[in-house]
Amino acid sequence: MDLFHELKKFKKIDPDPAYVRRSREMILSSIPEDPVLSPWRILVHSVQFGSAVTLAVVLLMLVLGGFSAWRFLSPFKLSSLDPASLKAEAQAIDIQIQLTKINYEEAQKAAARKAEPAAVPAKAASAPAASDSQASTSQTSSIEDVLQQLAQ
Amino acid sequence: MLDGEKQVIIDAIGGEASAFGLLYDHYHPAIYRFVLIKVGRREEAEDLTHQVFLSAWQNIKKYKDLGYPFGSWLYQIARNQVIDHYRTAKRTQSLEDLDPDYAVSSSDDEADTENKLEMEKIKTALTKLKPLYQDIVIMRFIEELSIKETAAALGKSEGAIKLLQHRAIKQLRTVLEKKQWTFFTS
Repeated sequence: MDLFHELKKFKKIDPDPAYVRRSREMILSSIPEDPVLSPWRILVHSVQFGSAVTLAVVLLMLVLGGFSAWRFLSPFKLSSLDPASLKAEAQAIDIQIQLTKINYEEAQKAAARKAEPAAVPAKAASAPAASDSQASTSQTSSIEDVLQQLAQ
Repeated sequence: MLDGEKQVIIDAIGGEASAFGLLYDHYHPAIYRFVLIKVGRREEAEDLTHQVFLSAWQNIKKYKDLGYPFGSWLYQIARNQVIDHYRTAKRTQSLEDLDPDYAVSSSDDEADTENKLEMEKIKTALTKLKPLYQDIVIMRFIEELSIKETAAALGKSEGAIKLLQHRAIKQLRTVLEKKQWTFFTS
């Protein structure tokens, strides 16, 4: 089958003459639209054009200024673009670290204070344990003595 | 292209109905065929083609001569009409839906049954192609528009049309071969 030859046969398809006549009459009896703009259309077009230009200018300023223009022109401040606020934020972080450190040290001291009075009854209650610790202390001191002697 | 088309277009833009009538007479059959092959039903094709020419006449003053035949502009309107038609109709077209007589009644009386069957097969295969390929096959191989005219009507470069027409024909052949194979196996 010669496809191109077969395709050309479709060119023989013609519309119904009655339909063509009717359609032609209907179309040609209508009046083409006048593209001349009415005052309302002119107003709409000018508003559209004006808003488009304004948006384009704002966008251009933002792109060229790299957001720096925003700081001077906008009533709304962007905190992430303000160096003073950034510095304050950084300082606040340091303070928080220091405070955390202080809290930690105070907690340590408080824990130590609580532990001290409890150590005395514990010593009395458990003699062997205390003797062990004494032995270990004496052992430590004896080692120190030995080392001192060796040094001499 | 119509003889003295530029002057006829100028007259039509000036609001001369008889000038647009000449354009209508010249381009109507081609646009009708284009729409009919795409939608498959005679009534729908008639309505859509009427809408194409009505829209063209209503907007004739917006037409700008860019060096292409007037037909390219009409094909653009026709394509949009068909797209809108499918968008609003939102229905898929089955083979049973296609008008079985549209090719038969239009071909000349001497066309034999074999011819009609071949046309029917091709018509069905054409509906299986994607819309762009359908447009290219109709414009290039049925209406025999030049590559330049086709490119203008479809809004593509001439190089793209050359490439696309090759793909479209290849795909059409594939669809036809598959169809033949299923015919013999069934």
